[in-house]
Amino acid sequence: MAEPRGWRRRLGTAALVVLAIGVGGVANAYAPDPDAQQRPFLHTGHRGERVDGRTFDAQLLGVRGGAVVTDRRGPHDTSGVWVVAKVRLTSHGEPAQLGWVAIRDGDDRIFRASGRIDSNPPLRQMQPGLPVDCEIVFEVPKNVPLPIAARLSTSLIDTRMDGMAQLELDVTAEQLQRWAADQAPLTVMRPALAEAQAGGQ
Amino acid sequence: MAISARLRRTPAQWLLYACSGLALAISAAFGGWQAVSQAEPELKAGEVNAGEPWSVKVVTARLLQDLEPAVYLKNKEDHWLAVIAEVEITDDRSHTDVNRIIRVPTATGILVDTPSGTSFDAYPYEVLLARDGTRVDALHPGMTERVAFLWEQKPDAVPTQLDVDIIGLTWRKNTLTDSYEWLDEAVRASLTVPVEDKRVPVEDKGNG
Repeated sequence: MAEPRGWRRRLGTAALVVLAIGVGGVANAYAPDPDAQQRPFLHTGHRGERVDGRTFDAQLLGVRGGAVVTDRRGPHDTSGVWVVAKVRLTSHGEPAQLGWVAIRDGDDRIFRASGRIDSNPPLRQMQPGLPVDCEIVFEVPKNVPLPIAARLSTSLIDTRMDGMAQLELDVTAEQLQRWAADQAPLTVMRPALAEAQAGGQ
Repeated sequence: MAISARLRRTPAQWLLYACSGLALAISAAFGGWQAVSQAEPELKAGEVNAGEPWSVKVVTARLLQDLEPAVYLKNKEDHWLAVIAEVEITDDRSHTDVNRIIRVPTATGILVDTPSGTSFDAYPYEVLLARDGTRVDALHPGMTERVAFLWEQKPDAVPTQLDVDIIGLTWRKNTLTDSYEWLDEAVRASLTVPVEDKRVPVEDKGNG
């Protein structure tokens, strides 16, 4: 009588071990990877909406584009199309500066702000409560999958688990094609206080 | 019963030897002992080496004199050794590590500012965009660009041919941070290209 009970106990133990390994394997397979766990916290908005980027607010004021952007070094053409986003940035509680800035396309590809253009993204430091208007220049393929959005963060490199503002640019394929054919050089505005701009107008 | 008793008396070490021999025999049966063929394919100039995170077509190599104001030689008598290539980022995000794409392993007289004894010494001094001579700080997905990888070379080194390595990276989990990154730089393809001497003779400069 003792021997069959012993076999049943061993069989039960083995089954429990297999079950534990199986459950652990399934849990591990479906658990989000560290990149997903530590992804930035995105706050999304459209033109005119104030979007929280943790240490600052961002507001999309407008979007334009073209085939050529000019700066102090001269004109810069592109194999794709230049997209220029005008934004209003307001630091929350302490001076802040834009760091990691990129466009996310419809396929979730990431295009960093172009380093071919001077001071892009702008290095202007934002003081708390003083909105700064500036333009950020991106270079994307002419047939970039839509929709595209600008992502802004004050973190320079490591954006893990950081707040990030995502501004939907709401551009159309027709706009992109028109901009790609427009050879009139675009000049990027210098960052300026929003109040100063309003006062000057 | 007799065999089982004999097996019980056999030292475990002998069983280990037998298992190892069996493993080697199986490995040999599946070609495990065959000589490894050259891992990196030999390319020709103008052929695309497709892969991730970038596809690369080496176009030519040149000796260049003066590229100011885009980039400045540390010693005026030196020249630039340039590898011109077309690069397409095949990853889904912009890459800022463009200076890792090309190496010139056998080039002599390369100026290394402060030798560190690491792979950084082999990186080009600068990467310029052929389109407008701007410094390349990033290349973007799906936007093929012709770029020049530049090394400052001493005047007595005037190569007529150049060995070029195209470097690849592997997308894998960083064992330190557990996050996925492009790591493990390794030669993905090699080629030898003729070097065009495009330096302007000194006497011509005065006449220009």
